[in-house]
Amino acid sequence: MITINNLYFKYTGNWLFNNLRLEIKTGNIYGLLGKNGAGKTTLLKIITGQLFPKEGNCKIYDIDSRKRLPDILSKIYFLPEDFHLPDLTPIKYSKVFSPFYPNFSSEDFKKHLSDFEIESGKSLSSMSYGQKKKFLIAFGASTNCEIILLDEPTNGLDIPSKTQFRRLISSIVNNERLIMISTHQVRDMEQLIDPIIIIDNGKIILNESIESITSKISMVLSPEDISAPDIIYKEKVPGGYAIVYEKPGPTLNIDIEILFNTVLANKEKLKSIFNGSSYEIGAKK
Amino acid sequence: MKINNYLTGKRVALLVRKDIYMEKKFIAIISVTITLLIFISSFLSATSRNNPNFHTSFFTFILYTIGIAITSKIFSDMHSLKKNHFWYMLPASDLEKTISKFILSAVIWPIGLLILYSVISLLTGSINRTIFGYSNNPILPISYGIWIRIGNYILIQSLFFYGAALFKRHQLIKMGISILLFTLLLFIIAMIIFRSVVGENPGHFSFHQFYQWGNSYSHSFNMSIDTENLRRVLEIIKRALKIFYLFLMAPIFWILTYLKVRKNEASNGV
Repeated sequence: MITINNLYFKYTGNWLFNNLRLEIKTGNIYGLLGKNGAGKTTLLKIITGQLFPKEGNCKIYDIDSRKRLPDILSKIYFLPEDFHLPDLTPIKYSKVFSPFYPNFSSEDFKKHLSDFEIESGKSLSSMSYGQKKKFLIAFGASTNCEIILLDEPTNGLDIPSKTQFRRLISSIVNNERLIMISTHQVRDMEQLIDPIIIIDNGKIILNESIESITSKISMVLSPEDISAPDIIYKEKVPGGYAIVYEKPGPTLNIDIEILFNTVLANKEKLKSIFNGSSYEIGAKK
Repeated sequence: MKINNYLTGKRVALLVRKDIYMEKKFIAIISVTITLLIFISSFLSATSRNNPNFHTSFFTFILYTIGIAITSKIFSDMHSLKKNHFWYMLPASDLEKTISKFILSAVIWPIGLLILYSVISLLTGSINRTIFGYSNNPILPISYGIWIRIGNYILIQSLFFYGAALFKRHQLIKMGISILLFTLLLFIIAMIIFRSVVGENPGHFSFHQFYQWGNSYSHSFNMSIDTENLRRVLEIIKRALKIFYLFLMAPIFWILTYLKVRKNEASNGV
């Protein structure tokens, strides 16, 4: 559905993306993880045609995202981290913007607003950041777009809203839809995102499903520090040590934060574990 | 269902409607301000009784000044770091987005102003007649002169329309300076060309003479170059400039604006 081929991108100076290649398919909720400045938001903006690659391309349904065609844009909903909402009520907003989305469902919109406890008659500009974000999530889910890109969707959400968000995302994923969530709040996304893409210094350093990850590595919580040849990473956590082994383990036992730290601390080791299949090999420019 | 990816009237109408909804407060403020301005100035003008065509002049003044100021800010949602996300993500083509902005600044603004001004000028006219026994001629929407002024506005507006897409900030000032510099450059080039044309007779021609010739070249100036030919050349240049102004300038700047919008990117980075 989304194919990135030999993509090069930079703002000024060094290349942010250097020969980036990535394929993203429907039926999944991708988790896009990375440190600040790793290039997550830039990647989402390139996918949506807001930024143009210097070389290479990003194609959605085989169409270059640079073209920003209405047919493609009407299939994409992108929730940005920072946004400005007009002085309209949610109902007026939907009247103005929903006609651009051919599959928009007013019933879904009303239901999502109600689930998130958003007042439909209150002006958006007078709402808190969290309420605005919930409104945009509700609107995005109601567009029934095939590609939903969410940049830090749980930032600013209270605990019940985070639960509601997870419930909503789980309910809208299907075989025809692709959801990609870029986040630092990995705890909010556990049991939700699969596969996981980790981006570092403009390179994809992991792109694997949870099943694939747990078929190669496992995590355990040990009350004391252990040393063993198959341990690839350990970290002191409340209650003991999180130990990552190079051996298969149960799928449910994946702690995404530990996985993220493991990958960043052992890039070469992880590369050999996954045979480089998910890794981006960047040709120096 | 296959969607038309380039231009549909429906999407353009939706974009125009969206902008009107989003800017309804600004539209209300500007309408009230213009109404007050017309009321005050028309009362003042009625007391002096010396300009029966006051409304035509004042309409032209508002049309150009406020129209060009609005035009210069017409792409602010494309340049704004806070708002440009919605500009790029809205499912409409870059051509449709450009056309919708054109319609707002070059069609809806002058026609909206004309309707508002006509109503207010009729209203102030009857009030002035009752109070002062005199009123200025009201604006008539069917007047030929008014439509010539609107036509000229649309042509000149095209320059600022391009400036609005080209410059991220201070579009009005930057475009004003650009036009000034370009005019100066044209003048210098014209002077150089003219100098080279009369260069064979340097002893017979000076800038002072050129100025004199410009004022009364047909009869009073006697110099050794062929004034008849020069007059013909100037006539051709004048016609060419008129054709450029009337038929080419605006379409060129509209196309340049579209091309600028098409290659524009969100620049706020990570």
